[in-house]
Amino acid sequence: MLEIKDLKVSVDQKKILKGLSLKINKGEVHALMGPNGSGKSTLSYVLSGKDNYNIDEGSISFKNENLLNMDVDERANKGLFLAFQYPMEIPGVQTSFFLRTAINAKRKFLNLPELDALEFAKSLKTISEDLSIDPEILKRDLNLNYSGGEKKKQEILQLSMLNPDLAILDETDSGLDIDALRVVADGVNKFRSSDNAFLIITHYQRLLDYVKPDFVHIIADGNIVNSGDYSLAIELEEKGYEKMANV
Amino acid sequence: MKLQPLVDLLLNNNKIYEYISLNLTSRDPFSNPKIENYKYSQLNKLDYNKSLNNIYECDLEVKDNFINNYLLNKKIVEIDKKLLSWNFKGPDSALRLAALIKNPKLNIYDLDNFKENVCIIDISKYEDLNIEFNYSKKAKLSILLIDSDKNKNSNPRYISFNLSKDSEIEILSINLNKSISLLFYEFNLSDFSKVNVTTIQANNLHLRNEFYFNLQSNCSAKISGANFCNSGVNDNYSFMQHSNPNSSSREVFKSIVDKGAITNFQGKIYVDSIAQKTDGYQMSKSLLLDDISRCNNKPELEIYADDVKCSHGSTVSKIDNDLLYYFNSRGINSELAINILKKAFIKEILDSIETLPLRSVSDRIVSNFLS
Ligand SMILES: Nc1ncnc2c1ncn2[C@@H]1O[C@H](COP(=O)(O)OP(=O)(O)OP(=O)(O)O)[C@@H](O)[C@H]1O
Ligand SMILES: [Mg+2]
Repeated sequence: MLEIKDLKVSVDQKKILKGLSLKINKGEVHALMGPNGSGKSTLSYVLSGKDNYNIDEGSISFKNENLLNMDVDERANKGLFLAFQYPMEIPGVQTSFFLRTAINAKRKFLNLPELDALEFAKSLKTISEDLSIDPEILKRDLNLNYSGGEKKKQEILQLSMLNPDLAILDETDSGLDIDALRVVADGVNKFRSSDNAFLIITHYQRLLDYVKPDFVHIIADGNIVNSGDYSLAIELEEKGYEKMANV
Repeated sequence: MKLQPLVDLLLNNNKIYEYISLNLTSRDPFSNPKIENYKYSQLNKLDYNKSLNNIYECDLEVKDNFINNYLLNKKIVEIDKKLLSWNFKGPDSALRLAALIKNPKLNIYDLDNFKENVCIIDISKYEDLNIEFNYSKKAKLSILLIDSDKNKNSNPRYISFNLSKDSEIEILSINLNKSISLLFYEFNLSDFSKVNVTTIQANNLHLRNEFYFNLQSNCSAKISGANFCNSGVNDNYSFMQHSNPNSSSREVFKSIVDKGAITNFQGKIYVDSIAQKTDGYQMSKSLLLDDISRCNNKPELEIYADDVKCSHGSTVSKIDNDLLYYFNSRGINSELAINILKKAFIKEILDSIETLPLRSVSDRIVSNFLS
């Protein structure tokens, strides 16, 4: 699904990723953990194609194509989804309208006809109920004055509606209350299949208790310094980053 | 009570042209922001060679037809002098509304397909228009002001509304597809009256709208302006005069400027020394889409009372790259995203429209030009 080889990335001359490699296969859930400022969000931005990140070296292939040659919207339409650590507020654009536009953009890309309003409303209703999202909120402007947790849930709603092949969750669990975390985790588990894959960026083991990862990686100073299975997350919780990064 | 000598001058129809040629040519168009009276664009220096059709890829025929079809499909009530002596009690609100309007030449259209009735006034039919609104039984008159004249150069027009005590009107004024158009509006609000004006200006070359409000006590005036897909120079000027206590005014003007166009907004909130407890608000926002276009926003306050609340603000912004990235990351390409963001920018103006048919007219204009 995704193969990152020796990726070196800098912003404004500052080196952030320093030769990172990672391979994610279909059906796998990978967790990425690491101290603040180690480059987790940078990696997710580079994968989604955000401007102003210089790829100094390395390659990324996504579904056997060169990801780095694709525009941001092309990557999304080809099945890559990033749930943002800090979702944007978009005044004047209704949440449900935004969702529908995004779905139809993808359908157009795949040469499918537009989703009719009724069908859209139906699936929106089902999925937002699953995520216990208040339907009233979908009539409001996207993320505008949403609480921190509501914004995160909104990202997962978009994820579920857009049905990506690879979903990157950047600290989706931060800011969620205990019940919401459960709901979001259930949502992810429901969506998880042998055809898609996840990269879950998190600071806390709690989310990984609900969404059991196949692999756990520790990133420090722009490199993956340790990889293992779920037990690595438990060990990390006990010992902290400082020790684990040196293993 | 008249607002300014300027308006008095304008009231005398013969002098309109004189006034315009006098003033509009003798001042510099926004050449120096420090000049207090920089509001007048110098019309004789404007570039008339641009063609509207060439600048915007839009089917002007369709847009003109849209208005015409919209009107012709509806029942039309032609008002003549006889109607004025009628005493309307029946439910036909178009006729009832017609009788309230003193100018016997006015055409009133009844949009009876809609829940609410709207009176459509075609300003191209009148040299100047004076509407006295004396209806105060809690009914609201909604007016759509259009200019159906196919001639791209229209004569300057003066339109005034006098609202009696307790009366309420809502107005949507649309200016489309003009090479040159100059409009002067005056609103005189008696105690406890209310006016809500929305102005939509699209696909014009050179356009200037001036709005004069005079507020007595306990009344409320609201004006919202949207300006987009214009070329050349587009001016909006507002003068909000609070003459007596306890009135409120809200002004929001938004312009989307691109393709080398210039939009200017100058607005003053004037509060008389006896107009205590005035609540005034004014905001002008521009969305600048390229480096060759320009906008000038100039808010002004002139306050002689000491117990008032007045605020004003002005912003110029570009399309936010982070917002574009968010759209892109959801598979929406930049072109579509920018269109959505333009509409989102204008939405606040459309949301100020309360009457359903007026809202649907403006929605159609926006989707015609911004998609
Ligand atoms: N645009 C930028 N300009 C300069 N430095 C940047 C920029 N973006 C990121 N950085 C720096 O790169 C480093 C990695 O940032 P990044 O956001 O990827 O960290 P992170 O691992 O996601 O941290 P956190 O756990 O706090 O979210 C940080 O030191 C940050 O200050
Ligand atoms: Mg981060």
